[in-house]
Formats: sequence, structure tokens, C-alpha cells
Amino acid sequence: MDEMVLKAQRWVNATYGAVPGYVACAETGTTGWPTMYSLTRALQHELGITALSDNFGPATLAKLTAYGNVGLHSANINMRTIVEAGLYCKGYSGGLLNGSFGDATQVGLQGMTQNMGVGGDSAVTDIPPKVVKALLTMDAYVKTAGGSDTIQKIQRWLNATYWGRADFFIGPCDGHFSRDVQKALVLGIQYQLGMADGTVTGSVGPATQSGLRGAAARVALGSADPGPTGFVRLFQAAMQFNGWASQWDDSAGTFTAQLAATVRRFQEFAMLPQTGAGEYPTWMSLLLSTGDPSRKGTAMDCMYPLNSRTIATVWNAGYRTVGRYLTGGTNKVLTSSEIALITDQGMSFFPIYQENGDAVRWFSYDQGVAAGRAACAAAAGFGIPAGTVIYFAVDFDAVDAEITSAIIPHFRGVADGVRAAGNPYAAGVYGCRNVCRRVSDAGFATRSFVSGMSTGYSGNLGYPLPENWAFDQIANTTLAAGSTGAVEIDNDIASGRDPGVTSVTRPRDVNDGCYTYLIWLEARAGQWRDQGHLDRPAPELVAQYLRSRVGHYLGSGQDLVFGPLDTDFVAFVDGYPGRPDAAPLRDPSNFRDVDLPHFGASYGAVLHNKISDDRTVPTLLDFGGWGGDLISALGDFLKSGQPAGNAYDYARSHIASYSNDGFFDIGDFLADVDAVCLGAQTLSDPNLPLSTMFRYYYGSVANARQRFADFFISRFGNSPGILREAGRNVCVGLADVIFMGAREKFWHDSWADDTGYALVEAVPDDIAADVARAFADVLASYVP
Amino acid sequence: MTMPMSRRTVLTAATLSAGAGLIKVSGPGLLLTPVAGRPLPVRSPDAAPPSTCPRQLAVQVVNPGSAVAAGAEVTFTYDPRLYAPASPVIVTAGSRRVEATSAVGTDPATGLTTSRISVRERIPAGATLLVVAATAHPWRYPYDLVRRPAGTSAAVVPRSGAAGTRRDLGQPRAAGRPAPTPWGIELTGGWARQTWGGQDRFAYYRPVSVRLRGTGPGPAPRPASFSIAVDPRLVATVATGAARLNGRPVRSPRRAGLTSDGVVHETRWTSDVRLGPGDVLDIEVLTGTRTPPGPLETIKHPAVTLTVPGDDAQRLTGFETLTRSDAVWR
Repeated sequence: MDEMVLKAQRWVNATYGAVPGYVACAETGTTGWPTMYSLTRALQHELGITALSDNFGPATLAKLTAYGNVGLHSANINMRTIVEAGLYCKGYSGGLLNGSFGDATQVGLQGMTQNMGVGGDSAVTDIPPKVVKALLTMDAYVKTAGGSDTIQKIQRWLNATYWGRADFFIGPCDGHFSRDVQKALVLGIQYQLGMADGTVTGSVGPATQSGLRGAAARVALGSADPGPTGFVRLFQAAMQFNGWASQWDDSAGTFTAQLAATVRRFQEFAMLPQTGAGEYPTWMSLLLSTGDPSRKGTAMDCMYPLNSRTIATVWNAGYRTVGRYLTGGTNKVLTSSEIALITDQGMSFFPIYQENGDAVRWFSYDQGVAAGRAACAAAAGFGIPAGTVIYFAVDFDAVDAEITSAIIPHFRGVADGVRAAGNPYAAGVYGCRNVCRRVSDAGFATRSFVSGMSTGYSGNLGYPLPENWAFDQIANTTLAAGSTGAVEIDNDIASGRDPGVTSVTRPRDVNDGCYTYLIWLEARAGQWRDQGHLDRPAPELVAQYLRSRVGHYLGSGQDLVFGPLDTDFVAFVDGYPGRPDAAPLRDPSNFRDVDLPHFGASYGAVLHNKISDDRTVPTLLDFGGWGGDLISALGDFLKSGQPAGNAYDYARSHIASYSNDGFFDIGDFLADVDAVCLGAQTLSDPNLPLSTMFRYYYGSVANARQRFADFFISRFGNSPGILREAGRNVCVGLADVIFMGAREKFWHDSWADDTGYALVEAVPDDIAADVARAFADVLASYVP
Repeated sequence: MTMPMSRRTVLTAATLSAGAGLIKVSGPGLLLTPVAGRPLPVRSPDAAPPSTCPRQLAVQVVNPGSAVAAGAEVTFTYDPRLYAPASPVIVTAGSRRVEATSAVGTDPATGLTTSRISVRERIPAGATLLVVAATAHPWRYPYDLVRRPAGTSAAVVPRSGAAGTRRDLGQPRAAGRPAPTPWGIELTGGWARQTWGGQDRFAYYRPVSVRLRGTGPGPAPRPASFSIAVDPRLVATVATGAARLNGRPVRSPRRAGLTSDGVVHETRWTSDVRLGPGDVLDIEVLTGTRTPPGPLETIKHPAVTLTVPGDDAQRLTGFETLTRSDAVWR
């Protein structure tokens, strides 16, 4: 506790406590912002301002400027006392705290103004408005813990050189690079570029960038400032602030060979051309967290999964490493099929873990533990090799207090979570520079993925690039806009510290791509239903989209069999960005692909129609699947012109044929079987995703073979007799009128002219029976 | 206070400061007066007697006699851990800077730094000089605990090598009474951003969590307490939610006071916890918000402030207040 600070607090509260708009500060004897806010409001009151505010803004400064300097020669005793109080709060002597401005106060003023760098050549008895403004902040003008002598010298030089300019305010001289120091440096550069008062901003915008590209701003070996200020000093300041020796102490204003060597090392560190000179790219990397944002990186990260079209786009654009998310929804999450796509392309990837993370409430020790465990589980599931760096994301502008209280505890939790999972992976951090630096310095991250693109983040202003930076995210862009391969990416500069993952230990599943595709469609179906479209379960929506990919499953007639198509959902999916490749689905028991559009249609038929109580009687359920295909096989035989006695052999060789020589090939056969098996599951549990069911049936040879038995049981009651009779009735049966109507129309449209039979019922029964028997025997050959 | 000395008078400081020797003072000449100001406590990690240091190394030099030729020297001796030297040293006479040079060096044997200031001008009879050599580091945390701090003294001689006046600038130590063990609290926390206005162009931050950490080496003498002050046009209510001490649930701080008007909504909270070294008290802050109709002319920045009554043993961490000044309100 400081007795004089306590006295100051008591004085300002007692003096202004009754003033409307005044906010009292706690009387603790400890200095801090609340005391400065109170002194600011007190000053505003003395200046005649009635709308008091914590902020010492333009209005307060204007009023104070109109009043003039505050000190030994100014009349308002209270204002002099406010200055004395401010001095004590800053750690300087403020005399008797009565406005008398005696020797002790002047000692304080002398010390403070000199420490600010604005002391001048005469004794300080009165201070101008800008000094009063600086006085009422918590900025320090002596070195604080960890501060650098050289940085302090530069801070004082900036203040001394520019504080007379209208838009420049006295900044801290504590030996630390900070946001305000960054702004001061940029103002200095802007002034040096000749920008006028009122036009400078303290941030690197287009005008400043243009100036830095100019010859005047280029500094190199041999350059020297003509006087006490110039681009060499400003460049040296920028180097020093970013943690690189500037030779300021020995040769401020002169670009020495030693400085050139240091510049080369910085350029090497920042992945810039190593010229040893202060040119535009180097200036930008020193001043802005993006550096020159037009730089083209070799790494990128994107939210949407890559597919064959977009990966070609990023490859052709020169990208070789991609950051992708380990968990999340289908529009975000990495999949095994995408890993295959990336590695087959010859690229590598680096994993990112982010669930929420856009506010401080998502960060705590417990949440970190959960994140560590979840990330390791996800990475292991993909077969990502041990030792890979997983980048845990901090996706908001965390200030120092939040880093201390939440982010670092969170990453301690991540470390513990990873350790609990067997310590398989290294933890990295994604975030602004200050987050990366502090988390790394605390020992909780080995690599940094810097969100340099967020130039306005306080965590990127006044902080150098972390020493362990692996990727620096500097710009967002869309490649191949307007094309089917268009992809929105974040352009990242890669340092080489993390080469990424080029192979995984998990054996490749040829159906990964299809599962990814189905999962993505299921997410769209879920979204569609969330929008209030609840008339179809999600699996049916997915199947409908599969069906929609082929034209001959569409139309009003088809809707009667397969169910009305939700064309709006199809349009919704078609318009949704980031659709994965429509990969094939291969039966592991025979290595043949199922016809997915056919499946989608036949599955719809199962959902919208019923099996007859008499299982020998086919219905539209059958017509939409195996039944319709069997009719086609009959028509195909009749069209061939072969003798009736060949019907069985012909059908036997064409049903579930591996060659594309008929209308009931293996793809159709598998689709028909799957439609009944998965359709039956859906009728029992409408929420079971298709991807889950397919993963089950296609996950092993045994399961794949089992589904043929399931089909036989589910549709034909495990009876060969029913199977043969139902097959015959598909061709010539007369029991179900609706089925008959559909069959006749189909026969009339597709086969009547080619076969010579205007009605399918006219086909000789023995031919129909042989074709049906062939079908039964084909199915029997698949049933284990 | 000014003390004229005769040639045979030996000035004895009230007590000795470690590392600073007693120097015989003799002869008429320049008078040396410390510039008054309450000294700052110096906190030590071990049970050392309490000590202080002036917040600034500054003296008034008065010439009561005839003019003194250029070359008078003022020497400050101090513990370099405690001070940031003025560079260049400041010597004034009234409103005028006086030409002076200085040399600073540290004695490796004692660790004491000496700043020897040479006045390059003649000092007229009756003149008064103000000499400022250094300012105490107010925020040295976490290096603020000074083991065996050395004393601070100043001396003036009319010319180099001559006899002069010396003063001990530190307060006497109370012998035999150890200082209380230093303690401190770091206050940090988290914020939630709220926006208003078209395209969310205005923004304010309200606290959502408070973390208090005991710095040690000693425990805080009183339970942790703090205040939360927010702009009532943006935050209508403030309450505390769950609290955890070192990860274990504890009773949430109770509200001990409220000030709420059109300018500030300030709640004051007190807990049951006396924070020992390394103790961490996490407190959830629950707020109800308001949305102004448009821009605001003034702003009350959000501030969470430690209100534990301080004493000389309290370490100045620089983390006694949590605030944000980056709201956009107009």
C-alpha cells in the first residue's frame, strides 16, 4: 500500500463525490485504472464538462488544450492537485497533494517527463495537455520487469520525436513492445512518408503500404539518416521491437553490416527473400501480422473437406500442405477418404482440433483435458502417426488476462488429456501471436499456427512472430472462383518446422469415400429437417438424392413406385458448397460396385410400398427393385431371339452379371438386395443412418454375404418355393392389380416392340418360369 | 529539513543502512536536503527488518555561503535493484536547467551503484539547486522482492575530493522487528463481448470470470474481496456464480455492497478465502445485459478491482485491476 496513493484516492473521492457523473475509486492505497478513471472524471469536471466519462478522449483533450498547461503557473488548484495525485499513482513524487506544486512535485514532473522522453532543456514546472493525458494512464515510463533497455530508448525517442504531432500521443517507456508502441512506430513511419496530420492512422493501410514500396523507405547497408530521425531509425526500431538486435545502441540511424546480417537472419526466420535490406516485404513482416498479405504460401487450411475437383485446384495453385479439422460436422471434419485424396495427390496435412473456441467460456482446465483426449482419439482413429502435432485452436482475440486465467489452464488440461491418452501426439496452438507465444512459453505447445490474418486483433498488435511458428495464416481467398473446383482457403506461409502428415497407419478402406459422401448427405438431410421439412426421414432424403443422380428414376410414374421425390431437397444439396466426391461403394465379398442411384430408387420403393401377405404375390415394392429388373431380364431374353429352351441359361448368365451386357447386372442386383435389407431397417428405426448400415454390411466379407441371406429371409421368408413362385408371378402373375398395371406400362414402354409380346402376360409360362428359376438360383449362389 | 554542519561536526545517521558507510562530514559549504516525499516500502522475501526507499532520488542543494565554483559534486549511492537512473541527470535552478554531467558505476564488492553528478556551472550565493538522479521502479513484480536491500544516501561536496555533506535518504529501520511476510494477489479473468447498433458497430466487454491467485510468499492477511464496476446502460445485473478454490468448489463470494445509478453499476464482493501462495480462486460472473438504442456519449469502462485492504507487505503486482478500454460506444 502507498500512503500517498491512498491520500490521493481519498482526496479525489471527497472532492468530487457529489459531482453528478463522478465514479468513486476504491480507497486501497493501490494504484490502478479505477483511480485513473476517477481522476479523469475529476479533470473533466474541472474543465466544465458535464457528461463525465472514463475516457480521456478528444473532447477532454480539446477542453484542456483550450485551458492550457497545468502546473505552477496555472490557476486551478484542483487541477494541479489532480496532477499531483496522478504523479503519485504513477510512482513519482507529487508533493503535498494540495496543488502547491512545490519542489517535491517538480521533482516528480522532472522525473516523469524525462522518463517519457519529452523532458526538454528547461525545468518542468507546467505540463502540456498531452502530458496530462499520458499522466492519467497506467503506462509506465521506467522499465518494468522483463523490459529491454534498448526498447526503452526507442520508446523515448519516438515520444521525443513525434509528440508534437497532432495525432501522436505519448506512449509507454517500459521497455516492452506493445500495441501502443506498435501504433507509435507506424505513426512515425507515416510521418516520415510525409503523411499529414489528420491523415495518419497508426495502422498500416494502403497508403502506408504504397509508401513502404517506395525508394525512400528502402534502407540497406550504407543507408544513414540525415538527422535525428529517418527510415533507418524507424527500421531499427521495427527490428528491435520484433526481438532482433538493431544496433540502436551503437549506431542509431546508420545501417551497418552487422544490421544487414541480422536482417538476413530475420528474413530467414520469416521465410522472406534474404536480401539483408529493409525492403517492402521485410517492412511488412515487421509491422503487420500478415506481413505482405499478397505472399503466396505453400500451405493452406480450409473448412470444407477437399474433393477431387478442389484438390486439383489447390495443387495447381502450388499448395502442398493443408490444415484440416479432426472433428466437427460434415462440412468441416477430415475423413479417411479425404486423407487418401490428400496423400495420393502427394500433399501432406496437419490436423487442427477446434470445437467452438470462439470465446473465453470454451476454455478451462477441464475443457482442455476433454479436448486433449478427444483430439487424440480422433487422430488415432485416422491412423495419424504418433508424434504428429495437433493444433488446438483459440479462435478469438484473447487478451492477456484471459490467456492467464483461461487459455493457459486450458492448455495445461490439453497436456494432461494427451498424457492420459498415452501421450501419442504433440500439442500445438492456433491463435494470435500473443496466445501462441504465451502458451508456448508456458511449455504447453511445441509449434504455433499463427492467425496472422487477424491484423486487428490486439493479440497480433505489438507482438513478434513466435519463435516456434510452423504456419502463419495471412490471407483468405477463393481459388478458381466460379468453377466446379472453387474452394475458399486461408493462405498460410509454412516455415518448415512442421512438414505435416504424408501417410497414416490405418489401412485404407476403399469405401471411405462413399461413407464420407453419405455422411455429408446425411448432414444435409439433418439440416433440411431442422428447417422444418419433416415429412421424410433423413435416410430417405439421402436415398432420394442418390436416386436423383440418374434421369430414368425421375418422373411422375417413377414417383408412384419409388415415392414422391423431394426436388427442393435435391436442389438444396446441389447448391450446398463443399460436396465430397460421389465415390463408389464396393461389395467386399465380390469386389463389385453397387448401383447407388438404383439403390436410392429401390429403397424408396421399399419405404413406400408393402410386401403382400402372400409372399408369392409381388407388389410395387418388388416392382421397384428385383421385380422390375427380373422383368427386364425376361424382356432381354425375348429380345435376343434365342430359343425358349435357352431361357434359363441366358437368364442365369445375365442376372447379376459382372459384364455390362444386360439390364440386371451385378450393380443392379446388389442395389436390389441392399434396398430390401436397409429398407427393412429403416422401417424399424427411421433414424438409423444409411452410412451406418452400409458400414455394417460392407465392413467385412462375412457381413456382406450375410445380407443376401437377410434379403432372402426378409422378402421370401427363407423359402426357395416362394422365391421361385414370386419370381414367376413377377413376370406373369395376376394377383396384384397395381403391380400388374405398373408392369404392363413398363412392358409396353420398354419391351413390347422389341419382343413381339404386347403384353407380358402373353409370354409363355415356361419361359417366365425358367427366368424366375434362374433368378432364384443366382440368389441361392450368394446366400452363405 | 536543512542541517548546517561545522567542520568538527560528525553527522550520524539515525541508523545504519546495510552497505552504506558512515562518512564524516565536515566544513561549511553546500547544504543537502532530501526532497520530501513519503518513501516506498521495500519488501524482502526473508524476515528482514522493514525498510523503505525514497520514490525518487532527489535532493535540494542550497548554497548558504559565497559562490561555489563549477565542479561541485552530488553523489547518490543506492541499490540498483530499486531505481531507474535518470539519463541524463536533471539539475535545475528555478525554471532553468543547469549544465551537469554524471557518471554511474556499480561497486562489485558491495553491489551499490553510485551516481556522481558534477555541476558544470558556478553555484551563486543563495542559489538552490534541485537534483533528480533516479526514480524507484514502482512495478518490478515478479522481481519486486529484494533480498537484503542496500540503503540510499546522497552527498554533496563543493568540489571533487573535498569534504561535504552526506544524508541517508532511507527511513530508519525498526531494529529487532521483522517486516511482515510479503503477500500479493493477481487478478485476471475473462470477458464476453456484446454488440449493438447497425452491423454491430458498437461493442462493450463485460466480465464473465474472475481469477484471483495468491502470489506469496506469505498468505493474504484478509479474505479476498473485489468490486465489479460496469456501465449500467449495457449491463443491468451482476452476480457471482460457481466458485472454485484450487479446482474444488467453494462458497461463492457474497455481495457486500452495491452502488447503482445512471453512471455506474458497481457491486462489491467478499469471499471466505484467504489466498495463500499459489492458491487460485476462480469465480464465475453472471451478468444481465441491456441494449442501448444507439451510440453513447460517455462510457464507464468495465473494471474488476481488488479491494482487499492493503498494507506495506502487499506486493504491487500490477494485476490489481482488470479492465478494458477498447469499447466502441460512438
